[in-house]
Amino acid sequence: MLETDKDRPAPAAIAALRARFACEPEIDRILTRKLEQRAGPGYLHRDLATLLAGSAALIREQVGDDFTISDARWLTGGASKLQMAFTLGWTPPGEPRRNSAMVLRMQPAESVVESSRRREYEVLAAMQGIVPVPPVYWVDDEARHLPYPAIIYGFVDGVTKPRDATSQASGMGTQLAAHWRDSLGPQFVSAIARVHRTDVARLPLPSYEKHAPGLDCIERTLNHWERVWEEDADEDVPLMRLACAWLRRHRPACARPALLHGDYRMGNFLFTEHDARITAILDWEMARIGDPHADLAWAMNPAYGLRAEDGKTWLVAGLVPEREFLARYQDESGVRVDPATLHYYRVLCGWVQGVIALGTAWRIAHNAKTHQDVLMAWIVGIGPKLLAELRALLAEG
Amino acid sequence: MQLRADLQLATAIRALTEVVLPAVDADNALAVEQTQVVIGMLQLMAARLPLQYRYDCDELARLLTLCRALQPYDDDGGLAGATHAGAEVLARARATPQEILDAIHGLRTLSGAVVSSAYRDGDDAARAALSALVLTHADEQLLRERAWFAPQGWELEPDGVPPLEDLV
Repeated sequence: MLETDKDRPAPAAIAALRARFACEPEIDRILTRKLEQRAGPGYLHRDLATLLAGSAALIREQVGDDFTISDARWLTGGASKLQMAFTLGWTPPGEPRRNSAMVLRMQPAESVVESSRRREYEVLAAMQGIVPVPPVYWVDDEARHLPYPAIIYGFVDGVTKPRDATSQASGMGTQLAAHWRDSLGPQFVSAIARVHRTDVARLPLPSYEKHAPGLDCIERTLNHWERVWEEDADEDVPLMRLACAWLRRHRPACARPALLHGDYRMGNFLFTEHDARITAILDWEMARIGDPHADLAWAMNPAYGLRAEDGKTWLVAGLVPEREFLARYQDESGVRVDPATLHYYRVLCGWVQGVIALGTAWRIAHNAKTHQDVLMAWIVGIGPKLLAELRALLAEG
Repeated sequence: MQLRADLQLATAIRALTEVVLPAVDADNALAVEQTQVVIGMLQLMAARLPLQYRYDCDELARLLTLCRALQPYDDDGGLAGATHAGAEVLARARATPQEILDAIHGLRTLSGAVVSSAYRDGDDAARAALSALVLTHADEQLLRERAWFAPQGWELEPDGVPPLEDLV
């Protein structure tokens, strides 16, 4: 743990972190930007008019003056970003004039997951036609027009949970009736299998490092999240240090790096209730190139699943029995799941969740950096439960 | 244990002030007034909670002074015993809550650094021993932290976590 004032990191401390933890260039850029701005003001509440003006400036730069904006309203979103829906009257290139439902997705001063809007824009564009994703239009990754970095993408019909379901904060613990699971579960597995099957080399992802087979992708991931722990954690945790040391020592080589969603779980996709069809995979902000086991482990994390009505069957993401999840995934992806590698990535998942819940959520709430600090503080409370699961995984060896 | 009252109060005050209060129906005077009073009450708590233990010790010391002076007037002698017991309590109240927190913080940092370096540089036997130590400590500590946060409802099987009162 660095002996530095993390609320006001000095340039030398930032430089030391950058030198110690070699990250992908775009990850380094956004983490460095975060630290350089940390001593500045907290999140300043912006009204819809301000966001509309910023959106209009961004759109004007791209399409000129011939457009109208109306029907602006806030959307409830996850724990991380602000979202505003609006209607854009415009003439897309080569198409007739139309009204398009749009979403502005903007980060606050600091996020519970500090991520790149540029990368989010690129991956949404790359996934068009591969899995259901919103159409993506424009990005303001340097906050030239909007108060903070943002993207504009198309509004997609759907819900993250049916009206008769209950859940905890951020989509966790969503209880779905069996008929929903039977429809959504197979789609959930198929979508991630399609993502992993996609040839990364052919995807236009200039802000992503396309790692060769081997240890590079896991090395970058460990550097990223250990850096975040050093930047954000207030109270050190010996178990987190043990987990990090274990992860460093037991890194598995990745035979075929794939595009990863990074946060694949219930709550991060939309579906329409009338036909139980997944209409959009959302929240790609943690996407990266890496080992497919990482997405499986994340989806399988206990925090995102629950037991079926029989009290015994564990449902991955609250949707699919674990054995069926893995069997179906292997059939559809062509990836052979290795139990030891899966275990490794389950430890990684638990450790990263600890970084987020106990490190970043605390730090950004403490510094009043978000539009919902009270939710960030609330999320800190899940940290011990997550660490208990991490401890159990480490005890397995 | 990372989530403490200072952060809980600060974030609740901010949410009430910046999000909830502006959205309360301005024509509902009772709701507006009570939201403002709740904010004020939480602000008072946030300001005074760090001083509460010190304040109580100060009050006890002042009362002991009074009670010692009152003993000649105490016909049945009960005040002398209570004053002695009170003085003993005050004598035991040496460390402040902040000093305890500072000690926790320092030991967490140093033990974490030792775990990192010893695991990295040690042999297999040392790593196994180190792991056992940390996992044992985590088992006990995390059980208490989970009990602390149990009212939030994160536990899928809440009966597996004993009441906090039985653990500390």
